[in-house]
Amino acid sequence: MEYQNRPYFHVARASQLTGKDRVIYKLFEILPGFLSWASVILAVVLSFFIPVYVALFIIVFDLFWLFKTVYLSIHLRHNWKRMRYNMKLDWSKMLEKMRYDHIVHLVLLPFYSESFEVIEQSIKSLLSSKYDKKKMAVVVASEERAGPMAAEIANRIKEKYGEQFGYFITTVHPKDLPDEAPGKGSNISYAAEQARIHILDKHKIRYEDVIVSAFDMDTLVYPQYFLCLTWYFLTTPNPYKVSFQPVPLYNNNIWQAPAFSRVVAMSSTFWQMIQQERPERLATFSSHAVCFRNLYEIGYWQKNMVSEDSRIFWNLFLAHDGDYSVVPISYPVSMDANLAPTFWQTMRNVYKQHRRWTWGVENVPYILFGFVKNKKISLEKKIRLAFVQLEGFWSLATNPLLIFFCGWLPIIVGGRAFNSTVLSRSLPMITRDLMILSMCGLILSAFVCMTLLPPLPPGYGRRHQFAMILQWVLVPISIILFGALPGLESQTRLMFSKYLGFWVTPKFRKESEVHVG
Amino acid sequence: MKPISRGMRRIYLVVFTLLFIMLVPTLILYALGYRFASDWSIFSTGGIYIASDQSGAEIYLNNKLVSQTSYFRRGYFIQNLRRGNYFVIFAKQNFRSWSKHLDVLDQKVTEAYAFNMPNDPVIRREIPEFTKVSVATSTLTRPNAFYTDLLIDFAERNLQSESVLGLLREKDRKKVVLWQEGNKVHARWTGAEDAAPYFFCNGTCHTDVVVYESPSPIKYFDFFPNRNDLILLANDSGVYVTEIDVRPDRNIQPVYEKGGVDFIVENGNILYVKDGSRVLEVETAF
Repeated sequence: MEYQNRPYFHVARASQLTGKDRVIYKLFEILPGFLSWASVILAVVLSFFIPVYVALFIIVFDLFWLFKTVYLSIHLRHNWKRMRYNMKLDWSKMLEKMRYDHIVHLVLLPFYSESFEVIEQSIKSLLSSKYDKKKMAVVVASEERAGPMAAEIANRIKEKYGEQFGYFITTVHPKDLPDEAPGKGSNISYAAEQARIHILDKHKIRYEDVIVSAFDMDTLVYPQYFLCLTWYFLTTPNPYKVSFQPVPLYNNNIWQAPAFSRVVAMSSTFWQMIQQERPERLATFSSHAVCFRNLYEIGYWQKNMVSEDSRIFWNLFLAHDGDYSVVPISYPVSMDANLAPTFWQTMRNVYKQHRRWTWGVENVPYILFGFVKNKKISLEKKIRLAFVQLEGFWSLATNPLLIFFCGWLPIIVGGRAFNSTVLSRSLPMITRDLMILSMCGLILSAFVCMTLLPPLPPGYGRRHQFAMILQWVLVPISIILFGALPGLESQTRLMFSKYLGFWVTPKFRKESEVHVG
Repeated sequence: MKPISRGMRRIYLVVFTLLFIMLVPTLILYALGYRFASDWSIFSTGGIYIASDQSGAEIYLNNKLVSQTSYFRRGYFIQNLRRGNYFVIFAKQNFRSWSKHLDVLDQKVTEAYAFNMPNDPVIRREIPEFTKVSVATSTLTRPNAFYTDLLIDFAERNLQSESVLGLLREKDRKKVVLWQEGNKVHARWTGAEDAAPYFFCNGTCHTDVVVYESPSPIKYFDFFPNRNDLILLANDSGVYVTEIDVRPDRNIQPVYEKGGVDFIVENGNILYVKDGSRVLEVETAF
């Protein structure tokens, strides 16, 4: 592993490089946005000049979309079955014949402005988990820039709950450190290093025996999460060549969130579930787990960029010369769906959150640059992964726009010659029918959604359950508003070096107690 | 329980890819208007699109009922038609029928815009000659200013000299210009020749057509409210609507059939008929 020693290993943007490297990196920053904009603009412009070909393209593309939907639905269904199976399993029985008392779970809980109550819920869920708490180390990581109140909250938590865990420390990430960008990455990297000094080294715990779970402060674990994770760690052929990815549910406040927020949250869950069945395409996302040794060897998460959750995977992938992957554990953790005091605030927050998630496109130049520089990764792997990444971001930003707008654009601008053809009449009918067939997949989505929901809170009745089914008609709008548009914005920002900073999703719950699982 | 095996996913991918490849040419040919015959040969088709403003109307093709319009679907696309000539009737109870012979060409859609006037004119309101105004404890009758304005509009039109009349006798809407020569009303398309609307085309497109030759002198003509393919004209027998559409058969329907009446279209969308001293606002949207 020598790649991590290279000066550009933790590069975040083109301006941090010089010479030819800078040019190459900048070209890769431009590439995703260029592909997306070129597709959209070309579709619009060509509708004026060759509407027949655009119309035929849209019809074929809609057919492709239908098949893709069916293909991905198969994955969704399989992972749904696997997840339910894993949730029913008694993991302590699975671990019966294994030795795991040496495994320590280090849980990093970074926060910025979350309230005592939110943090307390997360701690309580850790306490409810069926893993020996004396084999758990918790780090509540606050930010100095959040003010003294944040550190005070962390200390109150430690006072109230610290003794119940094997190890418990609080950290205060100093502000304005050089070469750092404010955000989760810099905070948890600092927290991990403090944990190494004050927990691991102090108590002579081997780095190889420590599994780090990098959570958000609103992450609530299901009772057998750590047992399940331990099992996967112990049964994976080489746990030092993998990260572990649970399925993110957004169940903490799902019943209180407005319909748009729920649809977007569940859609994100479904996408992760689908990816769990395609582990060769999987990168870490949001709450994930990785062996401490892996982290330590590469200097923890990057501190100078936003999407540290996925970037850590690519850091490890390149450091291990392509011999690194993600193990999907198909077991959930629960987080908050976006909820704000008013509907419009919620909508704004959902957009911003998805813009931050689609800002994962900042990994594309890093990956492609790494592929250029790391000669030890096979060409086949480079081409395949480059295609997966580029296609993924391209389809996110453009497919909804192409499908829902270009279906009628040739009719509007194609001119009289086109409008007198059978094709101009067939286009809306065929695209409508194909989309209706594609939407049938929403029935599966609604069904899967209902089975993953937490119990109805008091005061919530059949009306709310019905709304959970009906909400799926919002998918065509949400996929554009909270998928394509933030995706396009992120890619455009990257093209023009208008880099996004870290945005903390405000946590707002209407109820004080949250129960999952 | 493991993820779906890579082998299984590959099978799914291959099956779906093959299905996709097989369906693409079929879908493209279908979209272009090709259909399968009973012997599995492929033949090309065209279609007819009838636009209308009517709901609850019936559409007949070669005297066979093919569809009914509804509130949400006032037009209808008849597809899968082999090349040839078709007779279309657009009919609604208590309304005049519209009909046309239309040619269908391969992969082309022939358009038409039907219109149906009611059997009896529908009067929205009669413009009163006088209005009652309350002043203190009494009610006064005064001439209705709107009625007076309309009469002035009618009178001004008729009082103009011949040379000015020549100017007045030209109407234009959306690049379609109407003018009168004797008892004939003409229409001209003033836009790009290759952008001439379908109602100027019968096989080939003409930029100048004779819309109607009246058996009696034409008192006045104008575009039908909100349409640039229909014209209203008044002659000795009444007020009529006819279409510019050059394809047979040209439809002409009475709007207000009575000798001595006249009409005016205000603001391009309201029809007033003058019947003696009465001025009536006649419904044109159904």
